[in-house]
Amino acid sequence: MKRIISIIFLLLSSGFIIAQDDNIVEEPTVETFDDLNSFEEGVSDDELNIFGVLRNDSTVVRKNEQYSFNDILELRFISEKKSENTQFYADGRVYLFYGNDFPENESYEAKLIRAYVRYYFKNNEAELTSGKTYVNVGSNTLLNPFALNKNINFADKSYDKESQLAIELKYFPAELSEGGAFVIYDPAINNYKTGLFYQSNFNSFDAGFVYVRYGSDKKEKQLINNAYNKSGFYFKGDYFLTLKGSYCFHIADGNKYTNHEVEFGFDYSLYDSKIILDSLFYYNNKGSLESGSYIPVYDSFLKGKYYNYSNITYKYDEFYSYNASILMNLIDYSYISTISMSWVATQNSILYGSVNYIAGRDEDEFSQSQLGDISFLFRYEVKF
Amino acid sequence: MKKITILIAIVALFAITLNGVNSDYIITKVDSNQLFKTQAFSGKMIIENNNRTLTKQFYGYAVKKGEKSFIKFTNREDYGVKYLRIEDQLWIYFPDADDIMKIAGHMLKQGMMGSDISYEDMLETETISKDYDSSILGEVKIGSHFCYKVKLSSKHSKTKYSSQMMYVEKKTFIPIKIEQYAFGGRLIKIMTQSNIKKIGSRYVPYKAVVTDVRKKNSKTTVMFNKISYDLNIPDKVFSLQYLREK
Repeated sequence: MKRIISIIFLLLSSGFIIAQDDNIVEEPTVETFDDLNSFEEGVSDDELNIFGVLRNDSTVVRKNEQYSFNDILELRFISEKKSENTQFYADGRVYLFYGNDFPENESYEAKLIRAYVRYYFKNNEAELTSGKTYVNVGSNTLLNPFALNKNINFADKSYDKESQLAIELKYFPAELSEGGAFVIYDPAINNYKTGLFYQSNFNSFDAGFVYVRYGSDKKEKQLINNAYNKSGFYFKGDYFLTLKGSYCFHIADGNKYTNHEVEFGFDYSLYDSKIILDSLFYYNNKGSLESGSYIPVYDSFLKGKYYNYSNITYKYDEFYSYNASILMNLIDYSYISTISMSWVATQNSILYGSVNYIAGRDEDEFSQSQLGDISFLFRYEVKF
Repeated sequence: MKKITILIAIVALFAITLNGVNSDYIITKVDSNQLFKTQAFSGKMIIENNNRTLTKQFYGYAVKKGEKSFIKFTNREDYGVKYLRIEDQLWIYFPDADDIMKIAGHMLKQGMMGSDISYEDMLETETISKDYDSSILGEVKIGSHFCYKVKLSSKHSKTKYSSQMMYVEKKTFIPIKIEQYAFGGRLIKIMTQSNIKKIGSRYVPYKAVVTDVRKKNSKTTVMFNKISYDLNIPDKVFSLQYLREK
């Protein structure tokens, strides 16, 4: 009897195992972290990688009933090489200009947007970057008060800023924390900016602290005659919707100048994040309260006191997305509005079109007579 | 006669054990294929819409403890874009800006890199049994595969789908077809899984095709080249530092 039961059990078991293994390939396992390098595919970090982007921007602007046409062809080369402890990165561009707003003798320009070497300290969880590089402090919002370069083209927010000559040390004391210090040199005005920052994560919020000191600015002496400091905090995280904000206090040495900047906003998405709503309020204490009396404010994006930036994006899929945005001066209610569409035409090419409409009278900050009332941008970009 | 009766009873007992499976058992087996301490993978994602195709290559790592995952895209067009997810928080590194952006929690439902697969789907590390109640509706044959038809009903409103219909292959306990329904009851996605391989004691589908039925002529195919489980991945992989450095 025992023998019969054993045979039945053996048959059932072996049949089950045979059925399981039918047409199934058995894969080897990997056991050590070093072997994870074998998972890396596609473009390799270990080689000198060169990427290219060809971009053409055609714009038509209507200003005071006159139309102007301009075209910028941009050729971008990025080279990158990584080794175990170092990274080299360079982004150089050549621009060809054509159109009504470009003098005939200025038909091209070459720029080095970024070129840096970064060293990774393996045991100290730190990195040191030296060269022409972006120094990003504060949250990456449109009107980040801690931004070290506040020249923004509000009609085309996707343009790339030129980086700055800097040395930056970053330290990572925990998995979601980073601190750092930097020195930026601007040779055009023989000016230094130095700073410290620290950021960490608390209950789904990223929050941080920034301190920046500007050396006295030779070119802007009429505004600020002394060395200058700004400091404050920022946060971004989820509480029902996504909340983000910054507070920045400015003070010149000797207490001769003070200012406050505040940015607060939220974003939310609907329908599986296909529709994204984003709104930001911006306060600049030194900004003007009256239309027609706008004067430049040192280290500020704009000249007025209150602004709202709102944005709605509809992302249909990887191929199509649509966007509408408005930046409004809440003192004179002039605004820059943009409607745009982006279409991924092929694996490596994108078409982008936008229409800007500006509504403001002569004395307003965004005035039609100064900026034109309507403009069209058509962009074609190919990566290779 | 007594011996024969005992023999029949024993054979019947085996038959009940093999065939009388319940939905909890099936889901436990499905989960056991998907459960891991750590995971490393590489592959490509093919996004198709009408006649257009985008191909993205990636590799990544995940750990169950703390529900952490890291993905880097390595095709030329997206080279260097990296994702770090820790529980419900997501950060993306953009090489063009050399900056890390924290992505809002509500954005996790968005299709990853524009595909039909959301960040939630791609980086999911949770067990099915934690979020869904299950019931077995019968047995069906899909192609040459004999499957259990299992209905999953959401236990709470935080799940992305109100219910899922899962066709679990009997041999491997891999769901070879999954229909996913929104809270309004509407079918929104169909996923099929194939190219099943055995890694250690678990079965793993190396190919998944996701179709968003709300879109015409659109689908996303994920094909893994390599997958490995339970290897030693240092904690530093799931950090802001690694997100910038790697």
